[in-house]
Amino acid sequence: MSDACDRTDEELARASKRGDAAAYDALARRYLRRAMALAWQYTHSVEDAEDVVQEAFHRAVRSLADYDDRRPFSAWFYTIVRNVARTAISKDGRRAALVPLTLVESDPPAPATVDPIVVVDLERAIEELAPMQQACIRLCEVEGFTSVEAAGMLGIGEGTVRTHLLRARTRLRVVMDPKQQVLP
Amino acid sequence: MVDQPQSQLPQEPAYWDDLARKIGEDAAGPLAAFAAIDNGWTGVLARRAPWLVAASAAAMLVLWLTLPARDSSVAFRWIESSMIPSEVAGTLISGSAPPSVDALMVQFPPAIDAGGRQ
Repeated sequence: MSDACDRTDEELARASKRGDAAAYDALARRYLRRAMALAWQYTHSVEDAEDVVQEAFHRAVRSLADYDDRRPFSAWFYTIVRNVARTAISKDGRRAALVPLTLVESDPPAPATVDPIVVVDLERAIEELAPMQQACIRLCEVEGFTSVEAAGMLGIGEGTVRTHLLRARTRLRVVMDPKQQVLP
Repeated sequence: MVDQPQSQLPQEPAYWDDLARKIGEDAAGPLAAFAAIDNGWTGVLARRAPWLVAASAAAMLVLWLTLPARDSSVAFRWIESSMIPSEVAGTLISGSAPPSVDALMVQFPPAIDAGGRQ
């Protein structure tokens, strides 16, 4: 078996289409954490994200014959993850209030009034960001993905991710320190 | 004090190994089906299709270059002769009485074949 680490996603996908289980396993392990991170942005629950990821891989392997290996595997796979996640949250009444990531261009909510004496809960501050800003800040700042990777996962341009990151950081600074209205 | 947000995802390697194993198990059936198709004669043919197409194209090119040139004008002459308007045919068609067989034999001698022989 050739070293799977040296093979591109597309090579692994091509081998998987021929029934190479080792190649598929390498591909799945390569995308598992990214898929979970992406699914979590929709579900906000590890268990539900896990269901989404399993269903996404389930669909992906059954649709491998349709995958054109001249195109990036990541874009194809993340589209499946996003579609499965959207379907999951739309079916789940418990999270009806969760704004889908497709409604990303809406204005962020007004900054919360924070008592400076109270300990600032950055996690809560992130939750008050617009959905796509949340997703970008979590993927890049919390999960450690690059803006290119986050852009691929979210299906948007890298420049858009940078814009969301900038806005999110600005908002977080304001929320954490209401006196700091102007950024350096 | 600021709480640093932590990843919401599990950190234990065992969790990821277990999830990867589940996904691998789920994929075993489809992957076995892919392997069966790929090892069949259609799979072998499909894998070699680009080479087969290239080889066929090369063979056609070699044939075209090596075969002696042929006079293709014979076919065109035949088509040309059949397209010439015939006054005799016009007369027969527009005549009040149908032509007799003898008249047709006289007016339309046996066709000239492609080699110009009668």
